[in-house]
Amino acid sequence: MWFDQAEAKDLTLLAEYGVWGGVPAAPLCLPGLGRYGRYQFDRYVLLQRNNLTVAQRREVIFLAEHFHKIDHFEFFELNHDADERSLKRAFFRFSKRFHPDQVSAIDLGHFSEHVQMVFEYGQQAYKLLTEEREFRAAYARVTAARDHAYLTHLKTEREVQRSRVESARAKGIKPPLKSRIASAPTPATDQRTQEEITDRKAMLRERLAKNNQRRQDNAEAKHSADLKSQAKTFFIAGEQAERRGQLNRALNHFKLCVEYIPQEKKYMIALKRVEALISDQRASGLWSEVEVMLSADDELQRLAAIDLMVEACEISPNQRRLMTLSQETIELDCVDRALPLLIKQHKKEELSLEYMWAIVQCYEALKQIQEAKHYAHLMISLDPSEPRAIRFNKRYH
Amino acid sequence: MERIIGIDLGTTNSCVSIVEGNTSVVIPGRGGSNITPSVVAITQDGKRLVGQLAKRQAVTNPTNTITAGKRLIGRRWDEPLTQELLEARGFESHAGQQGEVMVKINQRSYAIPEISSMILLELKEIAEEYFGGSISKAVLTVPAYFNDRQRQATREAGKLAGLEVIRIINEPTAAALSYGYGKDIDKVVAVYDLGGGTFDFSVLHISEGVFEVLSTVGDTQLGGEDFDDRLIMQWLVVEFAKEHRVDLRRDKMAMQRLRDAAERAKCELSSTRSTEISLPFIISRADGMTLHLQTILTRQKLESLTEDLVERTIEICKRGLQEAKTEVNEVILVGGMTRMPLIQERVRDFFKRSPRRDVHPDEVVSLGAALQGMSLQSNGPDILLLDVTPMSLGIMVSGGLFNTLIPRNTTIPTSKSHVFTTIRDQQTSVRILVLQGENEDATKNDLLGEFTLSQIRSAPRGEIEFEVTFDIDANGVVSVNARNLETGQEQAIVVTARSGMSGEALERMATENAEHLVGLRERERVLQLKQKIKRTLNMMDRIMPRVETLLSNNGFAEEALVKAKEVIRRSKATINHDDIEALERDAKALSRTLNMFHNVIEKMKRS
Repeated sequence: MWFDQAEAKDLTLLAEYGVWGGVPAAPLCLPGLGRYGRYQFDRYVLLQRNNLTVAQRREVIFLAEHFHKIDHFEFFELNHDADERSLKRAFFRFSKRFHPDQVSAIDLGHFSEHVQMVFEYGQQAYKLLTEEREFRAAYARVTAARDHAYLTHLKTEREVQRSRVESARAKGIKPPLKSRIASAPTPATDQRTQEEITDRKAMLRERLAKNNQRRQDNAEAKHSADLKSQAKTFFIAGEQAERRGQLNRALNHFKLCVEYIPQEKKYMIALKRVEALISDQRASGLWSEVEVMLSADDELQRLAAIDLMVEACEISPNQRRLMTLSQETIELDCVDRALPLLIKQHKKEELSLEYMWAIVQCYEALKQIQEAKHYAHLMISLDPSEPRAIRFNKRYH
Repeated sequence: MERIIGIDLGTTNSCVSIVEGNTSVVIPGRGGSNITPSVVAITQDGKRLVGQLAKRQAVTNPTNTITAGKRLIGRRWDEPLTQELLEARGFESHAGQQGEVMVKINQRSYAIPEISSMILLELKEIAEEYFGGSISKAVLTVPAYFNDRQRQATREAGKLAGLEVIRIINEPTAAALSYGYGKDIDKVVAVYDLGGGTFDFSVLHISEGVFEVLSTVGDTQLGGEDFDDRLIMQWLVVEFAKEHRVDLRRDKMAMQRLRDAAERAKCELSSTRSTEISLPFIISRADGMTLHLQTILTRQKLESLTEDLVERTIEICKRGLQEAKTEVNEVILVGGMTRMPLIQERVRDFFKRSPRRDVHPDEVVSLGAALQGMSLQSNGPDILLLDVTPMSLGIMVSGGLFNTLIPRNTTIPTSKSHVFTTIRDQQTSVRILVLQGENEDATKNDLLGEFTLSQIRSAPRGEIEFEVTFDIDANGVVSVNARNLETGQEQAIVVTARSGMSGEALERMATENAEHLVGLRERERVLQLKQKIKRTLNMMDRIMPRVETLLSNNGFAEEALVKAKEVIRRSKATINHDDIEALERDAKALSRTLNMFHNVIEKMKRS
């Protein structure tokens, strides 16, 4: 509705230029509010690490976010009646800030993309304004008409508001807070009430808290990202160590991984794998001693070997070891050492007949026939043609 | 801070500069001269000579001495212009694997960038000696009217010489940089740069350390060498033949001596009114008698021989001013040739003001290049160059037409995209031919590169659309990207020195690939055709009265005239509708008629 006073032929001419001919519905920068109007800069973005000055950052952030929301004259900080010379000057000033050559030597950090985008836009806008005189004239007329309409509207609005406030004051009524804030772009300090000030303070505090929260979130996000990458490096190092056979080292690395990122399954699996490998190694070390002792064929030695065997089976049980252990204990009459291990392993691998048979034998040695029968029954239910179990059943029937 | 040298790699002379303190200075070469001749020679024992030494022995060793390599850089062997240039030279040459020009010295072949790199290496060594440390970065200058391939070849030469070429800038722009740096001015400056092999004319607006190029025009085959050629071919050789009945052109050594003498005489005539050319024992006749060449050359004679060349430069200036659309406040003259009084006079007449005398025509370019190099450093001099592309860039569209995406004199860096569509039903691949030039007919332009987008869904024509994006970065490197808007499939190239072709090869390719080109969208095509018809109609209106008077009493012609009028009437009607086929037909018919009329007028004029 701000274009009512613009001429129709100007508008049709601008329409031919597509996005470039589009005049935003209202000016963003109101008189007296400076270049950036009421734009709230994001402090987090503003304070990111780079080599720009704060003024430059403001300009970059503002333009990057608003270049398509402000008209070309506003973009170059010009009035619509600006002549060619001042347009050129403005463009030169603009290029000195944004031309890739001017910024190539400084670290732009996260801003490099914005700078490039803004420069490309500005360059095309400048080209259009200088080369297409008709376009520029039409654009200037339309923006001028729009600004005029908008500003008069603003003025009358303000007048109405003021008179309303006056009359209300006269009656002793305070206007609602909302309308007060909206109607006064630059409230005079003496008009502020205590209430308003506390409100404003509360708002600021809230914003501060929000910003703090965000910063904290960001810090956390960064921390977790760090942890992730840390864990990744540990994981790679761990894998390498594992491949080289340095199992203890790999174990340490994987332990760290799991500590950093406990929810990552990959790390957990790797850790378990290495732990198993290590215990297996230890167990086989023990087992080789056991074998030496067993080969001595001396009863005392064999008794001592049982201790070692139990230890090995505790660390890393497998079928061969457990079978040997159960045979030895049956022979040496100390089945109670082997039985708990066997039962534990049986619970782990419920379908293994060998364990069950070992348990049956152990119970038989202990003369607990009921228990033995129970396990023999289990075996038969798994495999009806199991000869050992059938023989056992026959024997005790 | 790292040192950056600025190198003006000229056709006849080269120059190197460096920034010291706040301003740039020329580094004097071996023998104390500020400029180094761009001559490379390899002696019988394989020793490489560059510069003054090479130039001095050129007379005795013409087949192993390469002069003016810059005129051949980035050119293809099969271009007619290349052949013309090579014919006049003493050295042997042949085509390389990718169709580039190779020269043969002492049984070894060198590519042209290799020859240039020898000169660059010499200049680099000069700078290193002066500075007492190694130098690895340089800004090179090229004639503004060099096309992209020539620029890439120059960049390659820099790389071969062990230099990181951080920027390639245009010679006239560099001259303006050197002129405007440190001056608090707000002016429009015209740069007239006539060097050994090329002519460039640029108009710049200088203000507060920003140098905005407004327009750039030029001719890469017009320079001091052409002036020498005129002197030799049209005068010395002719006069000698008249007097002694001997053709000097068949003796390479004699030609080399003539070239030397002509160049020297030309330079002397800048300050004196006449000079003597004396070449004893220039050639021996079949009967064993030795002949001498001795003659007096006056300035007047030289001027009458080369007047049309100077006139050509002024024509180019006119075009440049038209494109700049502004008044010129200053004129600066660059290049050794501008010392010629005739040129100074004509420039003064044309611009109606005296050219500046405070720039050194041989050194100013390299000084500017050094300044530009330092301004790219973080705390270098505060200057900003807004350069332009000298030639239009675009692609070939259906019908062999050239569709411009980036028009010439566009400020770089820039990027532009446009949407094209398929031209046939069931077209499964499109070929994008990237071209540089000004001609509407695509085959008359220079091909920079080509690529194919394939695996396109078969569909009726015009249904599948492609977005072609041209991008020129601040370094002037062109990259082109095509995207299938339906699938998002992309294909891109960066233009390199080795790619490209022109002339017949391009025409052949255009016909071969006619089926795989892309076309404009229908709406645009209609607009384009309408514009074309309108343009032709305007021209027709202008010449119609003349044609009518010329053909008034000719029975056959009258019939043609009636037909032509019918075509015009019909086109005026079709222009109001969007019928693409009718538009196409009428556009063709109109241009045929216009051609016919032009021929008629020509014929009448002659008879």
